[in-house]
Amino acid sequence: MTQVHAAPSNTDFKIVPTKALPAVAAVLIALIVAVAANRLWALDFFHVVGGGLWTAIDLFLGFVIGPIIGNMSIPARMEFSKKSMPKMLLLMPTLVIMTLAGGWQLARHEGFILSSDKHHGWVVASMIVVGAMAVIALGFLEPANIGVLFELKKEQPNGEVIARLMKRFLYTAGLTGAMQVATLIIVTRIATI
Amino acid sequence: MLLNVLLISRIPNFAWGKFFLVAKWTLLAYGIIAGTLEYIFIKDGTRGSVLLLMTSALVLFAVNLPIHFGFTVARYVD
Repeated sequence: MTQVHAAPSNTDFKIVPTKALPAVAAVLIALIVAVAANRLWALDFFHVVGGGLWTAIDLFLGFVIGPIIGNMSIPARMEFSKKSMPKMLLLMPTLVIMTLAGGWQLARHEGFILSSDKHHGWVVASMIVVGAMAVIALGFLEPANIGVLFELKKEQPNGEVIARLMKRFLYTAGLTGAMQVATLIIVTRIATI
Repeated sequence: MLLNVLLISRIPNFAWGKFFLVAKWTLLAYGIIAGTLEYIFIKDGTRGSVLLLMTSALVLFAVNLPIHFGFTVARYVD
């Protein structure tokens, strides 16, 4: 690979923003309490808030931020990545676990997962879409996120590697965002049957 | 997963230090997520072969992802 070195990087940033970890822990504990209590409102809250934010952020990244970053210089992309990627590292997995755990328990609470339920076909369709999204997000998007952060930590980050991984991150964010639209159609259909 | 490990082990001069640095923390994070999901399955009364299948899937999820994450970082180490 051709080594394209950008300007020396300021490596003084944290890959995992540790100050935000208590907030993530609080969300996870609240999620477990909601599941344990099996309260409809709490489960609905986690599923709707998590899903809404996950979808919106994916679409915004893929279709708004992505093209903007594509037109920025490599040093500007690196500066942007250094600020945004550590936050994404904690934010997205938290939103995903909120949405999926809340959604599964909500479907169970409402009986949607029973094969005799009239919503069952839509729930199966939703799970197929979510399964595909999980493979894309966990197999391609998240490793790219971490790869960018480690590259930025180097004394001489390779701009080409960062550009390639950021492209992968933004394309997969856009792809999962587009698939989220399918999920939105399904869940709004379930809510109105 | 075994194929992943086999293919990685055949890469010459692979940055194992960086690989394990990323993989161990990812294992911790995704272990917590998998544990949360396992709790939900058990609380929902899932038992027997179905629980075994779901637990196997969660173990695969919690172990295979750290391998992917560790590899993505280690492959670009100079």
